[in-house]
Order: sequence, then structure tokens, then C-alpha cells
Amino acid sequence: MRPDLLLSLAALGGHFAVATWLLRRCSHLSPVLVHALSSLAAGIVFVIAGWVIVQAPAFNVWPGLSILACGSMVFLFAYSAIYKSISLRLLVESAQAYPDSVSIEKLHRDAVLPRFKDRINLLLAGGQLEVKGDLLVVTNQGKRLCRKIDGIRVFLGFSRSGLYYSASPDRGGQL
Amino acid sequence: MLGSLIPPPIFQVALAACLMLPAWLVIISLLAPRKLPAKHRLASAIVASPLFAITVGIYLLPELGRTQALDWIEITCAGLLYATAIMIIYSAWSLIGYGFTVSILMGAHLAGRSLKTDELMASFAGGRGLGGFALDRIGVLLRMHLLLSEGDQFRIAGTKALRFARAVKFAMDIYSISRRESK
Repeated sequence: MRPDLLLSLAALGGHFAVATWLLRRCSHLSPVLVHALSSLAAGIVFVIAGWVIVQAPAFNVWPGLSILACGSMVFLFAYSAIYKSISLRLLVESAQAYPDSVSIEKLHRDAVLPRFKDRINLLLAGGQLEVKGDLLVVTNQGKRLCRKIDGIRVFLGFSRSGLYYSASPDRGGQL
Repeated sequence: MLGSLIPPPIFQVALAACLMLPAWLVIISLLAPRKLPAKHRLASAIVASPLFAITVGIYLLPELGRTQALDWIEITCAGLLYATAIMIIYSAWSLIGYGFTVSILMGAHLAGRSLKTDELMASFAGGRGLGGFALDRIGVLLRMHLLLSEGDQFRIAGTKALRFARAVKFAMDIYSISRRESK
């Protein structure tokens, strides 16, 4: 195999190991920041190592960087899925009840509601929502953001609900 | 040394396709009928941008100094670069269209009044009650044959689905997801 490609695979492995270690150990750091910094560091190490080990003119950074970029995105995709995906939470919750079946109420209570409250807290912390009495109110900052998102959603042809199965008129909003 | 930073011709074509991807998404969204689903617009942009870039590349590659047969490794790596752009666009696209946090905020905004937490959940579930959102996401699992529906009960659909679910749980444990969430 070409040495530059081997180097990029080694850099990708390094990124995977470092990011995994940081994500496990430093739960106060933003996961996206950890992925971004670790992949950036892997890219810099790859380019410098390529210059030192492979040397010009045989070395060009682009094939190796493409492998590194694609691998880093696949890693981020997989991590985001296990970190944020509600569908996977529902699947794991159902698996824990196996071989029994599980009711929609239990799935809602155990897998969805805690995540829902997490996100509400995120919006409160971000200043898009505020609490008045026992009511949630969208702040002016939140309204401005909503108008922008609504414009993009309409432009790109999304339904306004954010549900997967509400946009298809043939299903009538049903599963 | 700096010469190694200049993209070879096939990567110039791939970079052009990457940069054109959002532009094609905008163009297709402007030109396509309003009824065309969002995922079809994205798919059209994903197909259109490399086709356009390859067409331009066929004319430009000789001008860029590459006339001999292309190396399959370079073609594969250029394809990986384009795949990266697709994943970035898809992330932003699905975050705006289907993101959980974004949808909760939009649900509160579109309701047009202040809501209690339960009311917000019901509102953003599209009038399907409190379990409506869970039901929407379960729909994805049913379509992927990972869950089976038994009335209003749901069961893992066989050994493969169970193995997959356990692998996901294992990965969640590896990355200490529950500890991160409890912060």
C-alpha cells in the first residue's frame, strides 16, 4: 500500500483512539469540540509526518486527507447516533425488555421524556425559552431563530413539525 | 513542500462537486415543485453536483494537465472527499428538518402561546398525544424491521435486531453516554 495512505490510516486510528479517550474521560467537554480538535490534530500530524517520512514530490496531501476526512465524519456520525438518536434509545429500551414486548407509554416515559426534558433545559440555558410560572415561553431570541429555521424548512420543502411521517400526504400522518 | 498541498486534477473536480452541493440544493429547491419532498430535493442535489462536476472535469482535466488514465486510488479518494461533503450537508439538513431540539423550539413557537411542558410535548407531536413523538420515531424502526408492532406494544424483531440493539448499548457504555447526560 502507498505510504501516504498508510500514514492517513494511522492518523485516523490515532484520532479514533484520542477522541474515544477524551469522550470517556472528559464528559464536561462538548463532544463536537472533541471530535473537531482531535481530527484537526490528526490532520496536522498526518501532513507533517508525510513531509518528513514520504517527502515531496512523491507526497501529496489530498488522497490521505480525503480518507482522514471521510473516516472522521463516519466516526462523528456513529457517535452522534448513539449520543442523540431517539430511535436508537427506543430500540435499546425495547431490547432491555426482550423477550417481552413493551408498551408505547413505557417507551415514551423511559426513552423519550427524559431526553425531551434535557432538550428543554438546553433551550432554557441557551436563552431560546424561559419559564414564567409553570409555562414555557419562547424568548425574542428564540422567535428570531424560529423565523429563520421556518424559512429554511419551507424553502427546502420540510414539513413544519419535525416529524418523519407528517410530510407524506399519502400516509395521512399515520405510521 | 508546498506543492504537495496543491490538489491534483481529480481532487479539483471533487472539490468543485463538494462546493456545488449546497448551490445545487438551493437551485433545486428554487426550481422544484413545492410538493416535492425534502429528501428528494437533497437526493437530486447529491446526484446533480458530481454529474455536473464530472462533465466539467471531462473538459477541464486535459487543461489541468492530466491526460493519462486516472489512478483508481485517486478516484476512490476523490469519491471519499465527496462522500464527506454529503455527510456534512446531510447532517445540517437533517438537523434543521428533523432535529429534536429544533423541533421542540419550533413546536413552542408555532403553538403561538405559552405552554406547559406536557402541552408542548403534545403540540410538537402533531396532535397525536403525548406518545405521538415516540410513535413517529418507532415508525423508523418498524420500517427498518428492527421492531415488530403488536397493537400498542412493541417487540424486538428477532436475533439480528437484538444483536444490533446490544451493540448500540455497548457503544453507549463505551462512551459513557449516561454519565454525560446526567451532567
